[in-house]
Amino acid sequence: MTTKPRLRVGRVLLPGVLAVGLFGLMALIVLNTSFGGSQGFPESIAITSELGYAMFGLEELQSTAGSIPNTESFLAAFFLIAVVLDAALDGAIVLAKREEEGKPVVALPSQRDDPDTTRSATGRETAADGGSDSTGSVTATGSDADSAADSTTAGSGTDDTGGDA
Amino acid sequence: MAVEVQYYVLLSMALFSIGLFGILTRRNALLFLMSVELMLNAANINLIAFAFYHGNLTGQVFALFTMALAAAEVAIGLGILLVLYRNFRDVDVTVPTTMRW
Repeated sequence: MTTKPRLRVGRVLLPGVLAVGLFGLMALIVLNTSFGGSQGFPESIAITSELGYAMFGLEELQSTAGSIPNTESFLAAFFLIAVVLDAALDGAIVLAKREEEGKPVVALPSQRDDPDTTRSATGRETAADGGSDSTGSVTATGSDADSAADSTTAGSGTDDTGGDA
Repeated sequence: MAVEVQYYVLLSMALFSIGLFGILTRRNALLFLMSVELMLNAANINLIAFAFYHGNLTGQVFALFTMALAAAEVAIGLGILLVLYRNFRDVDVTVPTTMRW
């Protein structure tokens, strides 16, 4: 019952013979087939820009001199793939969202429910600027010299602006 | 000097067979996902090699779309993997049997 990807060897590799056999068969067929030489692309054409023009359906921008023939427009496919990617993103969010008692538990909440309860739940906040909020828990957790000095100068633990002095 | 197209086909077949080997022998869902990606990339190699072979750009553009489709597939696959782990505390694909057959 572990999720560590331990590599299993032995008899479990037996179905893999099927894959190796398939590779052997296909390699035998390919090596006995004469393909002939490749047609290739003309030297004077930038392939990347031509790809972009083909993808966005900009046929009038494609080079005419020594051009690559029969390049189709893929604008509709581009939009379809955009929709598919969007749907996949939504699907991934739906699958990954955890629900507890009918309420979704989001990993990164955009707003806090109650500032008081959140403060008490996350009482050990890190004070990067020396701690403007000099309640007892914050200054007690600060181990660096800066916040230690703040705790001595601020004196009382209830002063909110004392940490900056 | 261009490489002959049959070597590209051989490479893509080897990649496809490695992916198939992984799917047939592994039980970890993450390795399954990687194997499917290998097979998809084998198809990409074929598309690009034959685009060069025919002197046509269609295969290259199509390979770009296949990559986007692979990204969408991985997004869904990782979501399924999360649910799998959440429900079974494991990513072994032989553990969940309720939707089999």
